[in-house]
Amino acid sequence: MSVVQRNNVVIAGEGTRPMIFAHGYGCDQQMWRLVAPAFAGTHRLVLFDHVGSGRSDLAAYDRAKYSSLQAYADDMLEICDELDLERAVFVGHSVSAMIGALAAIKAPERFESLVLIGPSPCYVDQGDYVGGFTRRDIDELLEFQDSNYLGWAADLGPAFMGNPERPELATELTNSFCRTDPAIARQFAAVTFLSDNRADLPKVTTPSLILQCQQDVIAPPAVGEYMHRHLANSRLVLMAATGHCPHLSAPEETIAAMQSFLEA
Amino acid sequence: MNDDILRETLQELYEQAPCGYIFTLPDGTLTRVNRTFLTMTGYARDELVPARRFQDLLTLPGKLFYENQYAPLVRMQGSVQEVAFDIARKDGARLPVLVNSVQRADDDGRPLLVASTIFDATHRRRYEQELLEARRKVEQLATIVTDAGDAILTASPDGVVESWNAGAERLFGRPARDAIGQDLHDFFDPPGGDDDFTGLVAELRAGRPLHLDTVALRADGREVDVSVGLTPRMGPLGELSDMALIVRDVSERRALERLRHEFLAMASHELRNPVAAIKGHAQLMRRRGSYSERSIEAIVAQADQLRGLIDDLLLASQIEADRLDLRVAEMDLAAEARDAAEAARADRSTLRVVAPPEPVVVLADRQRLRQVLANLLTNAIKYSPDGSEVVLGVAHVDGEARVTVADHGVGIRADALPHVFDRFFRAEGAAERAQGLGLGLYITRRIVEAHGGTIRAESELGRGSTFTVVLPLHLLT
Repeated sequence: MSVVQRNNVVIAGEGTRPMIFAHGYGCDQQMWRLVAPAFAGTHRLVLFDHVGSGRSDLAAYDRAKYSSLQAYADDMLEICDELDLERAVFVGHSVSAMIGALAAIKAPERFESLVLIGPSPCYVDQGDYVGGFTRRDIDELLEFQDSNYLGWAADLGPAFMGNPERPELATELTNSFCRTDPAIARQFAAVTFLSDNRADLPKVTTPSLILQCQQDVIAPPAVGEYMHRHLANSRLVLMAATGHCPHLSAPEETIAAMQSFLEA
Repeated sequence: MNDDILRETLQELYEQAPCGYIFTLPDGTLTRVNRTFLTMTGYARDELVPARRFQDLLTLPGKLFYENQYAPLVRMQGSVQEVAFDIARKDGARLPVLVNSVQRADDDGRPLLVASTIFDATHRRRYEQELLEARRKVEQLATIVTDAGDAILTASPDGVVESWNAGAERLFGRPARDAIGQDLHDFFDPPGGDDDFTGLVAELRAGRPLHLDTVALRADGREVDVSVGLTPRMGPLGELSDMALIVRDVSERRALERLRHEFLAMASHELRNPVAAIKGHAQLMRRRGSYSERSIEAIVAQADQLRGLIDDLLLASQIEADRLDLRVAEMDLAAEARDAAEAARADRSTLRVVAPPEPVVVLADRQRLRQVLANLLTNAIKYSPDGSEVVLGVAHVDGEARVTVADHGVGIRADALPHVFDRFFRAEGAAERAQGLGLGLYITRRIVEAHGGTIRAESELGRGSTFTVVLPLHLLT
C-alpha cells in the first residue's frame, strides 16, 4: 500500500510550493477546512491523516512502531519522499508541531519554514520547566479516555455547517471525523502527553512561526515563550483567539498571521 | 390561553427542566443557564453568566477533551451527541454528565452560539464502570478456564454438553465441536453402570455440589480413572439451570494406591516370616526344655533379618518424607569399596575389586554409602550362579567418581529393566524365593541421588548385569 493511501493524503491547490498540513491529537485533516483553502491559489496543498486517525489505514497501526513521535515524523517524511516535496511550508497543530520539528531536523532540505500552532515540546512540569500539567493530570486524562469511549457510542451524524464555496476541499463529512479506534487514541494520547522533546528544539534550523493563543489550557503562553527562546530563527505571535484551535475558532486571524509570516 | 401565560409557563419549563439547558458563545462563554444547571453545579447565576466559560467548569482531562475534540466537532459538524464530561461543582465534588450540543451559525456560516443539554450521568457512569469491570472479570475467568490443565465443562440439567475446554479435549480425546451438544453420559463408563449416576441429579437439583470417582471414556475407547467435581448452578426460581464439571485424571494416583495396597499386603507377609521362625524356635526350646545353640543362632539371625526389613521400611518412609539426613564427610571410594567387598565376601562366588591405588574422594555419608555398596554387592552375589565372578570397580573418569558392580548372574528382563529402581520392584523368576521388601534398589537410588549422583543398570537375561553409580568427585584443594 502506498503512503498516499496509508495516510489518506489529499492534494489540492494551484500553486507550486508545497504546504503540508499536519493535524493534532484528537481529530484529522478536516480540521484544516477553514484555513487551507486560503492558500490554495498560491500553494500546492498536501493534507493527510496520521496513521490511526481519520481515514488512514488502521491496519498500518503498530503499537511498537508508534510508541514515539519520531514514527509519525518518519511517516511524514515518507509522504514527502513519495510526492517529492521540497522546501515545503509545514503547518502543524499541537503535537504535530513537534512532529514537524522532528522531521525538519532529520531532513531540513524538505522544509522552508514551519508554522507551529499551539505547540508544546513537553506537557508535564519538570523542575523549573512549566508544561502546564502534572504527571497525575496526565494519568487522569488517560483514564478519562476509557470512560469517554463508551460515551462516544452514540452516532454522530449531523449536517455540516462549514464552507460551501470551496468545493475542492469539501470532502464528504464522514462519521469518522474525530473518531478513532479507542485503543489507538489511548496510546496516541499517552505518547503525546508524555513526550519530552525539549532537547530537540535547539537542533531545528528551519525558520518558524509560533502561534500562541490566550487561555490555551493545553499549550499555555509560558510554553509558547519557552519554544521561542529555544527555537533559533523563530517568531512568536500572541493571538487574540482563545482556546487551543485558532484554525477553527478564529480562522481569519490564523490565515492573516500565516500570510504575514510567509510574505516576510 | 394568553401569550403571557404561555410564555411564562415555557420559561418555567425551561428553568426546571430535567436536564441543564445552557447557551454559550462559540468560545464557551456562558450566556444563559437554567436553574437545573445551577443546582447541578452548585453555583449562583451571577457566578457563571457572563464571566465563566463552560470549559472552566470541567475537570482537567475534560478541558483537554473539550479543546481537542469537543470544540472542533461542534465547530465542524455543527453538533455533538453524548459527550461524557466531569463537572467540578462549586463544592469540589465531581458530577459526571452527558452533553449534547447544537451550534447556530449566521448566513455566512460563522458560529453565533451553542446550545447544550446537560444530563446528570452519575448512574450511567456507574453502570459503565460495572460493565467494564464485569467484562474484565469475564475475560480473566475465560483465560483461567481455557488455560486450566483440568478438564472443565458445563452441561444442561439433562446432561447435554454446553461448553468444553482445552483440558477436556485432552482428557477425553474429543475436540469441542464433537462434544458440545452430546450427551454427557456417553463420555463416562462408571464401574457400577448407570446406577452410579442415579440420585446425582436429585442432589444437584437441591443445589448441592458433588464429588465422585468414576471412569471416563475417551474417544479412542481407552478408559481413564477420574475424579469428578460437579457444581450445580441455580436459576432465579431455584431450579437447576446448568452444571459445571471439573474432571481430573487420577489414574496415576489410583495406580499408586493399588501398589501401596499390594505392598502393605506383601510387607506384612514378609515381616511375619522371621517372626514365625523366631517363635517356632522358641517354642521348640520350651518343649524340649533345653538350650539349643542352633536355635539361638537361628533366632538371632531371624531377628537381624527382621530388624533389616524394618530399617528398610523406616528408611524408605524417611526418604519419602524428604527427611533423609546425610552427614557427609570426605571419603575414599576405593578404600570403602575394598571394605565393602571384605564384608560381603561369600564362598559361593568370587568377588574381585578393581580400584586405583590413589584415593578417589567423594563427599558422602559413610553409613549410607556402605548401605549402597552392600546392597549392590548382595544382589550381585545373590543372583549369581555358584563359582561365577562379581567385579566391584572404582574409577575416576571426567571429573566423576564411578562405582560399578558387574555380575554374570541371571540378568534382568528387558521390560523390567526400566523399573528396577522403582519403589516396590520385585524381581520375578529369581533362582530362590526373593526375600525382602523390594525396597533395596529404590533406597539405593534415592541415597545416590541425594548425594548428587546417578545410578543406572545394564543387563542381559541369562548373561548378567552391571550397575553403575556415578558421584561427583570431591576435588581436594
